[in-house]
Amino acid sequence: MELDNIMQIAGLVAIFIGIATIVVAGIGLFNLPDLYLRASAVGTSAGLGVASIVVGALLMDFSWLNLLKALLAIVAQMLTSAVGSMAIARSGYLNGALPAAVTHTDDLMKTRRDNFS
Amino acid sequence: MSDIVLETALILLGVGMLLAAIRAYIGPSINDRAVASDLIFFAFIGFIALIGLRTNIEALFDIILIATLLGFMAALSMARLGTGGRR
Amino acid sequence: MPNHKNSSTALWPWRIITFLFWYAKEFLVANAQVTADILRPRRRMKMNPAIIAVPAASESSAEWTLISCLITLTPGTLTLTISRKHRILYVHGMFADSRESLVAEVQEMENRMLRAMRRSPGDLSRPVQVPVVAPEDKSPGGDQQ
Repeated sequence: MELDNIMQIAGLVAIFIGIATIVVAGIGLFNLPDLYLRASAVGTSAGLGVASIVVGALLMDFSWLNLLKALLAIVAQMLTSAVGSMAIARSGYLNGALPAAVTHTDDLMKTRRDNFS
Repeated sequence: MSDIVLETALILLGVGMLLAAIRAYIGPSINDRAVASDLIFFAFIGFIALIGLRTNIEALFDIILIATLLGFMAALSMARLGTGGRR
Repeated sequence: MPNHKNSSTALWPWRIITFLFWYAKEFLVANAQVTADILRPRRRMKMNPAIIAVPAASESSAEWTLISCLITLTPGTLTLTISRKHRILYVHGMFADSRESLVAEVQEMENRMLRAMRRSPGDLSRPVQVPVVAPEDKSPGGDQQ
């Protein structure tokens, strides 16, 4: 009974950490100036946000099979979200979304053709 | 007690989703929209987890596993749509 | 290049475990950094973004894929594209104060990853000078398929 209560509370704490990460990423979508920085902000919620929500749900509803499924889900989420955000950033660069003015070096600019955008 | 906390968590998550939806609505280019819809999807996974905990769904972790496995398809096809098939 | 003692002489499974713990620590630190920077008001943001060409030592397709996924997964750094022919990773860094700091960060991660992935670490040398990549007619923006 005691252990059960502790796990419930730890699960709620983990869920709230994840939700805070997602809300902060939502604020970052407005606060940050260009596509690449926004993609970085969403990257926090893609990794830590979803992972800690899944861990929280696991702590609140624990069984060994659920542990296996949750671990698989976290690994899948991390690999696939990395692929997704790489694809979006790459297509943004191909599409001519220029980095904001605070970006001090742009090595990729040298490889662009002039008649590109 | 735990039910009220879960409902508060759902409301907070809804706020995050709303922020992302506004960005997806006003986003100047399709890539900004793609990033915002990515965030909406992550918030949606949170929604599934919270609603599943609230109503005691048996297959909760199966749903989460499938959602995380297939979620990046949306991001990939939005990226593909943005460049018009060019890689 | 940073020289890690005993990481290449340790047993192979042990190297994988150390790498996972090191990566988890980096991941949490980067998350905290990015979150703190978003919540600052716009005047006092510490970010200093840049797109830097980083010379890489990876060889096989699996290594290229894994290193670009790991870089993207760390919040604040983002792989835009790679050029396997010139052995370059194009990395967008959010807290890149200078070219050298971002290059050192990415190359340290790659060194540790290659030591964990390969049974014997092998060749970790990289070209010192970044080759000039001219645009070609065939494949716009690199040769990643």
